[in-house]
Amino acid sequence: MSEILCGIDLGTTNSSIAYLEGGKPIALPLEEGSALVPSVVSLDELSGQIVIGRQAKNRMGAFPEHTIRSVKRLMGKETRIPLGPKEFSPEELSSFILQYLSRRAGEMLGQEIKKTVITVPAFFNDAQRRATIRAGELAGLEVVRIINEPTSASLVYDYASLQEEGKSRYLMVYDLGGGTFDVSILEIKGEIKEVLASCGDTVLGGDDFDERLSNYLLRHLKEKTGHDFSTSPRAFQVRLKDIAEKTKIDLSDAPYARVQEVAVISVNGQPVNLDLEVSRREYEEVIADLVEKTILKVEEALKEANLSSSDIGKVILVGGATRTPLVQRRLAEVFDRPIHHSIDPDLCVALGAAVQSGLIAGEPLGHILLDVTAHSLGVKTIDTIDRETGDADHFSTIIPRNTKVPVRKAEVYYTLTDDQKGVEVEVYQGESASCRENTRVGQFYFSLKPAAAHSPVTVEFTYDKEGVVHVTIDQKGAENRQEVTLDVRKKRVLQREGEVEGPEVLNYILEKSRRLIQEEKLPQDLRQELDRLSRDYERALRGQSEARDVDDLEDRLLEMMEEAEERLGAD
Amino acid sequence: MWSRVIRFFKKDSPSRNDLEVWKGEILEELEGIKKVLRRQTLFLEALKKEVLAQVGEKVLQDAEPIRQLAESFFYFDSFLREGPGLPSGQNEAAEMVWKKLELLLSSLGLELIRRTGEPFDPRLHQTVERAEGENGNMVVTKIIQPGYLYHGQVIRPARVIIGELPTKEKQEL
Repeated sequence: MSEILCGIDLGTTNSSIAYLEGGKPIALPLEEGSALVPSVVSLDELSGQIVIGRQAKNRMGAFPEHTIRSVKRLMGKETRIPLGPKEFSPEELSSFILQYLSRRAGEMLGQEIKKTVITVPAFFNDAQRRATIRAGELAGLEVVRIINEPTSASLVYDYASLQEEGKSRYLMVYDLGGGTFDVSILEIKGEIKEVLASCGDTVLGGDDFDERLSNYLLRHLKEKTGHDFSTSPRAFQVRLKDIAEKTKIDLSDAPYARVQEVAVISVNGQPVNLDLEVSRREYEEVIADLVEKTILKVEEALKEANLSSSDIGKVILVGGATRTPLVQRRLAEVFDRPIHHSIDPDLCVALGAAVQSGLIAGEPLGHILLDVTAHSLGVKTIDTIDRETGDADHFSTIIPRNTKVPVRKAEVYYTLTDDQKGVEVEVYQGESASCRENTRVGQFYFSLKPAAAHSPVTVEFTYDKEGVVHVTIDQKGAENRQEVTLDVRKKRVLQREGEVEGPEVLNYILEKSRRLIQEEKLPQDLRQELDRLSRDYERALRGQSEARDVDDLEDRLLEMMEEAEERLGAD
Repeated sequence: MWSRVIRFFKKDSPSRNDLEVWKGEILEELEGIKKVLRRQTLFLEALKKEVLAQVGEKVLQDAEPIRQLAESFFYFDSFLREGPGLPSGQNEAAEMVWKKLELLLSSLGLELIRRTGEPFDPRLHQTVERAEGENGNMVVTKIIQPGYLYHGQVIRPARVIIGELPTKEKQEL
């Protein structure tokens, strides 16, 4: 069995470990199905054991003097950190996290992990880097390389099957985590990526977005009850922050979020409930200045690197808070192009470190196969008129190209006239702002209930891995909604609400061959041959052929599918 | 292949050469079947993994309104129990609703982490506050936010306040 090399993102808040399987980096779900391990260390004095990760985080409130988080901030410092009766150096504490990650990964993979690549922030000095290597050694690991986090994130995109955005040799990594923000500008010099500029804010992140939303909810409660709950017990504050975080996540995918929470606090023996709708616009208003702070840092980094926004070939988003639509929109305005991510922003640093480990080991790295949308998906709106026909022609994007699937996104549109009878929902895919230049996937009519002009209608797309889009259209406040299912690859309406599903799939071989036929990268001759064989095999299966013919066809079809997969893998 | 097998057994006194040829053909065909079966098994394994993952995701997604309902009832119930607590009849009614809700949740593989008085378990409980006291025998004294498990896996730990287990003397006092 060959040796497994891993990549580790030793983060301030969370850490993760990834490895390469068949040229593809995979993050290991070490803790209850999650690949993110809280970077928290706790000493259980009763058992004398060191506890890491989620359980250590859960102990924090109970045993604060025995627990530490964000030890990364202390790396390279000559200090001793007490955990109960014992004291540890920052690298010893980091080594516990590294040991836990490699041990759990080894258990999952059935093989001991001995070598690893570890990532560090671009601003880490020599002492901090040496302390990280020492932590690896203390954990019993050979640290084959230390790489910068932005470089690591860019590596995973290099090998992803994405189209290059221009030929510029400069790229920017915008990393907005839970509590910190970093922006780095990299120059690509052949295989080497040099960090030209790096700046950030150590106390700005997604947690601040939650806090702003918490304050918004507090103001709502004050309006509702006349009471100021800002100094209420900690239990209430904790619950409110959780509600805010959930609302923030909902608003990343939808223009509105419904908040319905029972008995968040009590006043004069009566429960105070939260029942309101928060719009994305309201949320964006309360976080706008925080996002602007990051944009100023982007401009500062560009200035430091003596570059302008047009010099940057690619913008890479790292960190969970970059899922915020306002962040993507503001960056799109600065760089004058759509900005989005197709790789999990929480894991791309670890995935990139795994790619780096593969490069060191000389493993053949093909394109990383990602389940992403090949084209942007959206609807036709009347914002632009076709000059020749006088018809509406604007393509309003709901799911941008290269978005990781499965995905759910929604946008809100407004009616034109009073008591508008209905809307023709036309779904298109493509990259042009004009629908005429894009491909129509399907269309259906949605009847509206009487309402004033400019009433909101929400269109939600849920795109699954099979290329099926479930469109939900909702006339807000009118209890009027409709669901339609579209097959994007076959460009047709599959099923309307309440209808019976279409033709059944005979067996997995046929289903798989149909999926391969839809692959855009499959050579034309192979596609045609695969299609012909699949049809023959299907006819044979349906009982019009002798068993021997079925066997022959199945064998040939399997051979051809194998060839198709090899070709796709090689490409 | 079957025609060859039938010939193999039925033909009167086949020549040695015939037998060798048929044997070779049958073995070759069996090798082919083995290959197909192996591939089919791989396909089925991949299908099984995919289906199980999809079913798991779908169940969790579909169960979300029920989980939210249980959580809402938890907060309502906690509010009612504040202060002097519930009269016995209301308490009995609330417990009956809980039993029904928990039965429904368990039929979906879900379990709510909501009970106080249980020993602090860092896998199931995340401490928000700790009451003053020694380190030993810490129990959950208040649930701030219930957690939940899906087929035994912690999807979210309960947010809790912990304190010391009251001693017998304290209880008696």
